[in-house]
Amino acid sequence: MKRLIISLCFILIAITSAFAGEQKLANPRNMSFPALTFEIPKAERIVLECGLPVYLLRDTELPIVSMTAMIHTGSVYDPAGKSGLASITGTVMRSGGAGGVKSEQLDDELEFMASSVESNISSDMGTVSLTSLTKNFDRTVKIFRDVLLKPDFNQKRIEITVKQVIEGLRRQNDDPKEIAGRELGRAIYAGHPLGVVPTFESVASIKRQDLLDFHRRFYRLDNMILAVSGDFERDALIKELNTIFGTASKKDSLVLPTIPQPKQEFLAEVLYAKKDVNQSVIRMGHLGLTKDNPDLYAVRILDYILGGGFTSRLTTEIRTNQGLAYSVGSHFDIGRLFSGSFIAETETKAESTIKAINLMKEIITKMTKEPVSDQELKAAKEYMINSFMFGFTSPASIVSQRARLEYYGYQADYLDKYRDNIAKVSKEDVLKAAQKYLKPEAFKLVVVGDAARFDKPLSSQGTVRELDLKMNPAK
Amino acid sequence: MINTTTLNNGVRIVTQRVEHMHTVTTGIWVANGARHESPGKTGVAHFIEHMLFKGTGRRNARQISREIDSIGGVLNAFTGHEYVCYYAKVLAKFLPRAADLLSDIFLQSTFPPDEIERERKVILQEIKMREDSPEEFIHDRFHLNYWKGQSLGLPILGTAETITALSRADILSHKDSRYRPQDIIISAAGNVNHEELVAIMEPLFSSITSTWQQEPSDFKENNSSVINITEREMEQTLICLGARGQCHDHPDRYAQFLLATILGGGMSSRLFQEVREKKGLAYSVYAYLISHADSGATVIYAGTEKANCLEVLDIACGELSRLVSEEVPQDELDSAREQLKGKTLMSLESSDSLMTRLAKNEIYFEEQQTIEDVLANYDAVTSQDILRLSQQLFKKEYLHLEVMGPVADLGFNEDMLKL
Repeated sequence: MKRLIISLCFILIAITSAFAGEQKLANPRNMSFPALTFEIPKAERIVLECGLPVYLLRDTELPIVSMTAMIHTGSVYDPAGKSGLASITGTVMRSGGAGGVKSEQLDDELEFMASSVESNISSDMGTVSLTSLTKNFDRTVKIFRDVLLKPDFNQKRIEITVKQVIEGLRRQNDDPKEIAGRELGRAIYAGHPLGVVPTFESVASIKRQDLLDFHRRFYRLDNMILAVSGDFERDALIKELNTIFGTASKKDSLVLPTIPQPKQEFLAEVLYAKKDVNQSVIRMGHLGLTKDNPDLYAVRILDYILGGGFTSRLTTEIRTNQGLAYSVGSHFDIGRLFSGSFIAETETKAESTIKAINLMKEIITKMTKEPVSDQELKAAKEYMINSFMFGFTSPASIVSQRARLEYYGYQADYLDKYRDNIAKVSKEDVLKAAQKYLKPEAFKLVVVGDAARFDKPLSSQGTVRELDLKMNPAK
Repeated sequence: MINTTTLNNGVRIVTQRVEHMHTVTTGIWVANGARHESPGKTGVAHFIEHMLFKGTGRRNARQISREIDSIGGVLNAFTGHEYVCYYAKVLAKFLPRAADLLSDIFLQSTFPPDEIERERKVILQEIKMREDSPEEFIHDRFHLNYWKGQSLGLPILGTAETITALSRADILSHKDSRYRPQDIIISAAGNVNHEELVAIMEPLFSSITSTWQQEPSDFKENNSSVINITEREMEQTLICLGARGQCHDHPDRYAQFLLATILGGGMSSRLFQEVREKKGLAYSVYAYLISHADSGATVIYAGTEKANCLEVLDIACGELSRLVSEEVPQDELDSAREQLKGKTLMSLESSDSLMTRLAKNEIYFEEQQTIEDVLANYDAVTSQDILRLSQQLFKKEYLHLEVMGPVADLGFNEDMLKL
């Protein structure tokens, strides 16, 4: 090992001396490095006496413990007319007191310990997370348990949260990017719970009993996974978790409501929202694919080449060559439980709106007509393989990854085979994936801006439906 | 372990080795920024930041991006009022390549005229984009107007007029003069070997020279309260209420961090509890500090419905008054103290934040502070310190209010700034 270091130092000194004088000599870009031998750190999986699966990864570098519970729930389970219920439940679980302790007291206690306990519900997952100094873990984990399983849902806090959510809905219309993102999501997932957004009425109709019912329905020990990392003693931790969560209680067996997949319809639409802003916000896209799709790896490569980085085709042409935008890109959001989406986006000055839209469509269409170059394919693979490890930079990210894979039902060897699967993708695979999953002719196009200043009429993109921002979202 | 090497010409190389990390974040910092631009050249420091990715003698713009992508790394930069930073985060084994790439763009960029013209368009788009985001816009407005008429009151991005007027000669002149050795700090954290990095960087950086002399600070204290209204058709109303703050290396800086935390730094802070949790008057409310080498500001931000905005302002002024007239209870101070100490410890988990910390210590303190020192300094702050500091910083004549929204009929006036 020592010898290797000495050799490396020698090489480096040789290189740097060369730079100091004549730059044509040794070049670090041409240096060879040993193959990356990064092994994905393994987290231990145990099952508590109550049946709750737990991923554990001990790391004593810092005196910190992190823990996350992932609960099978989500806003896709919002009852009709109560859109916003899951999100409000997730918020008030934490802010509305827990275990009989008032929220102010919880806040004070947690902050005094430099601990945090947070709760959130996204479209397809609930999380309650904890971060604590090791010395304060015992108390913090009890608060965590209470927030997770015994929230008080203080009425006043519910009312305040409802007001805040309504205020948040109002705020969305001040930000053209938020408007565009919201409206594209609604258009792509029209008719599906993923396409439903909260309205003033739906939020105002939410009562405390709705939160209690929602929580009771999903927050059960047989409906969650736990991930713990950091500075703990394994056996002591397991004992403590068993004490805190107890043994399995007799409950009715859990049956989650069935949510259908989004309807695979690809119909073009042009949506416009008038906003007096400098730049037009442009979003376009359609339904994508799920994690179980065999073309997943080809799509990952396609995604990177088309709009994923600073060397992507979209950025190269629209930002670098044409200077039309500061930010431009595209992304396949791979669906885990439901079909994901493909979205391309940019912002440009009003006077170049249609030019930018046409250019984006042209670049996307080209992906479906010709194979990518050898250089593009090689660069994409190198980036994806070499950056893979950045997903495992902290113990918390490692256990969370493992727990998340189980939560969403990934193949057990998904991570282990990921880099090999990326390496196997060919140019033909990428072209086939582009032809199969990119449908520019069926884009839902959303533009927020001032059409009077556009370079050409937006109707050049199809029949325009104007959105009325004065109205409640989703009306 | 922290190691520092100063080259003959004053360039500093500072590293912190953390063996368990697989990655290294390396930054090349310049300890001057937007406030050190020549008159009329507003935005040139940020323009240079963009241009350093546009080609060198050995790599064109595409090769620069391709190269960092090929090793799965991140290459980026940012410009502030008092510094510019170019950084790369890579797997530890790729440090030589990242260091070569960073130093190449830093030292050998060629500023091709056609690339300048293209990037000018991109920056003009960036300026417009920022104006369209209400929340970014009001914070920018606050900074510009709080330091109005001074170098800190100029926009980092520049204006459409100054960006349009900048020539290649202006850009080169700024870079040649401001990227002077005594202002260059190379910082790296993670799985890095100090001697290796010095061996790479020393031959490249030891011949840099510059005769540019930094102008003395033009900062002037403002002694009369200010209200600025930006009338805009919006659903919400945004408020930034500012008072004085201390500069970066002020002896009271730890008391100031605690003061801001108590006022609006977390979920148990006074503003969050009073405005958001108890009364539900604002979707978002918090306090933050702006610190520069010679001055600072304490800022309260709130986003609220127009109908609630005067009440929120009243509460914000009331909380400042309370800090001026009453000592913070010991348990509240202890809670804020633990919160900040905990955050300090948790920041050690990231090579990015370690790298930034190393460089900022050099820029503002010219020495490395240990974590133990930082924690001890928090421990030393008393309630009397917070009261004394509040009485120094929070006076009616120091208040600066920026409001944005459809508020023309609310009749904002100085009587509303009650302390």
